[in-house]
Amino acid sequence: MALRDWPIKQKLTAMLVLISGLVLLLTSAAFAGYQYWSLRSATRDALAVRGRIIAANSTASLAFANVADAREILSALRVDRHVVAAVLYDKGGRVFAGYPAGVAGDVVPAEPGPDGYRFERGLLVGFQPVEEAGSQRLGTLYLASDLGAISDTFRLSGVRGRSRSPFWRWPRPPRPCPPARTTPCGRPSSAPTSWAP
Amino acid sequence: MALLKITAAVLLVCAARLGAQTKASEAQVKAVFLFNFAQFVDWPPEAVPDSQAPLVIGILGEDPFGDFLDATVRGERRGSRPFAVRRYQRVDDITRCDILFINRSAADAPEEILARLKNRPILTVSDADRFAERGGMIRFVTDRGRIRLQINPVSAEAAHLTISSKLLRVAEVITPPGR
Repeated sequence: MALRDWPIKQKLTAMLVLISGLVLLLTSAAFAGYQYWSLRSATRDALAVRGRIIAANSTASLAFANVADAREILSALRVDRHVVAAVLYDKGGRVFAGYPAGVAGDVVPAEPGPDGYRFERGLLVGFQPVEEAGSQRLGTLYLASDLGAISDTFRLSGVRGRSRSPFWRWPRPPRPCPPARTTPCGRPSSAPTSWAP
Repeated sequence: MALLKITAAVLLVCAARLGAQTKASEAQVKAVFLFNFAQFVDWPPEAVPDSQAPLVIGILGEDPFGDFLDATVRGERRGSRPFAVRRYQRVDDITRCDILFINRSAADAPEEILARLKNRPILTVSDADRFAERGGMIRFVTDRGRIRLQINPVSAEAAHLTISSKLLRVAEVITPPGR
């Protein structure tokens, strides 16, 4: 039976179902969008807090060229499985210490970028100044985190399906995807094997 | 034979220049460290005449830093306090000083110098042997091409100086015998 031949009652019911479905879809989309942007913002804030804590604890390591201590401080990030790389740069912008220790095959920015946290090519990255209160800058901390925390939350809330789910899936962020200029991070280029502070 | 002599002479000159460069770099790192100490040490309020008073880094005895220490602190501030570098030949010349580097030559017998500075809020630093054990506050230790720090927090406490735990973390803490 063609649509025009439907009884008016059936047409009204179909319209109501269609409108209700549309409203539900739009509301869900708005909710998912709001949740996604809120999570992005919360994830960025959380990484910034971690960055400030690590930076505050790294001042003496940079001021007195203690690479072992810097590595130990950075290694505290192992409790956060989403942090894929962390690097301390000295005042001259040279890599001073990196995390994880066996990151030789991986890559990190060759020099610090502008301060601040941002989403770049599937990663949340940030450059945090390292400075003792009221004094001059001692270096820069770089943190890179995957977006797993966001997708995990979506998965828990049922918005993003797991592999068996027939529903739509949130795109998985790629693994470390460095900015343009990169350098191996296995051994710091400015490790005080020389006198350089 | 003459060629051998010339080669040996050239090699000697190169080695001497390399040694001098290494020495200069070591002094430069120590100068930067001296400057950085100011960020990790707090002086008692009575040691700071006013909030704009310069933070004085003094050198007792021969100056191993040349102009580098002056260049390092030029234009720098700790809060609102600018830095100043003073050079002293005798302990009696020291009027107001916040960080004092005692040259190894002057610190052969540091006990006498430290006794004269006793209870004054001056952060004493030296690279003299066993300086921290003998009552000094911070000693530079050169170890395999690196400069490590030894800190005697008891001496600093006696002078009412507060050393940041961050600085203690990167240093070897020395406890004087008998404590």
